Amino acid sequence: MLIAVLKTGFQLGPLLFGLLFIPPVTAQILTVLDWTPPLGMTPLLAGFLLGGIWGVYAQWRGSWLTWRP
Amino acid sequence: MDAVTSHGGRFAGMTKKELIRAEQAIAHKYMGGVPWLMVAWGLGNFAIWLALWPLVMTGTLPLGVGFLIACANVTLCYLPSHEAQHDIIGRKGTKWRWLNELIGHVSLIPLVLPYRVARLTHYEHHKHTNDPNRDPDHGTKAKGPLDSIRRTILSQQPGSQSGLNNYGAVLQQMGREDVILDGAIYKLLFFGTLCALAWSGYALEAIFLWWLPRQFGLIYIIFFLSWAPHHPAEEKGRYRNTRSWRSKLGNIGSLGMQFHLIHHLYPTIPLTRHPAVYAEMKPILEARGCRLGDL
Repeated sequence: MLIAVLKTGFQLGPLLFGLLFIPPVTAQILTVLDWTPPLGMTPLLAGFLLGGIWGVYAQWRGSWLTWRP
Repeated sequence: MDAVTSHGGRFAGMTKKELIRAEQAIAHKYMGGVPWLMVAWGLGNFAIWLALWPLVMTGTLPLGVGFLIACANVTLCYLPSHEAQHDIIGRKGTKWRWLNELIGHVSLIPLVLPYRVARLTHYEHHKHTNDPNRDPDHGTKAKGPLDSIRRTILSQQPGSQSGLNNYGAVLQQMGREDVILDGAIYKLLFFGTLCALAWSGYALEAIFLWWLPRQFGLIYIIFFLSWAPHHPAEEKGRYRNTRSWRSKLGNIGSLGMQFHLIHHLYPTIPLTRHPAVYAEMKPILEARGCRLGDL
């Protein structure tokens, strides 16, 4: 059971990383740089948008970058 | 009758059997004893990396300085464990065995590489150096320095089947599925810690004290410990699978890997003694037709 949960978690690793790590990171970087996200978004919402899109991309391509592994 | 060599100064003309005896006589002089410098290096490096967290979080140390130190910490963390992987600090059954295992486990934490995974896959690397199908590190083969860096970055991508991502498959082939779990737990703890730090308001510390230094360290370690000493990684065999070379960053900057050939010939000689062994053994290595470069 534990192994199955771990396997599923790792298979969805890029998506989870995009939704759990990138949003707070983005929000804190925007705050430090004193940048305001467009369209009235909060820094955290901008982070979720960035992390969500990038995470889906990495999940789909198997890479966070444009190169294929 | 063994082939007789024509190079190698006073060793020229010796048979292979005589050469191996002379080689072993030199090697055995440098084996044994506890390499205390590596012990201090392993524990000290880990302690410094741990200390960075409160120092940066409390504003005592600027994040930029902490980042540079963390990059050095992660880059330096592999070698003490490497000594432990070869039982150099304390063999089984000796009084320093606990220290060997402690260094092996603890020093690798910043790199997020479990000791058992590192040890087993590294033994496979020694057994099958440069074998495209059996050397776990053969994926680090690259055309040149920039290609090595590019390939390491690619091997860190989630869909990659080379580099550290290949170690699971290697362990499976070895029938050591139990050790794969170590890797899963380490990965889970690493990303769990990163996320916990980020959501607690320490996202920049998580990135600059661990995530990014780890990326940098992996590139540096793979470049100097795997790519450079085996390049072009095409020949197999004891005397041809590893080379010595002169690094532009010197022996310390290249993590002692200018003499990696000595490590592959005699893995239980401590790293800090490699230059002396090389100097004494060089004529034999020449006689053996080793790839000595300009060192």
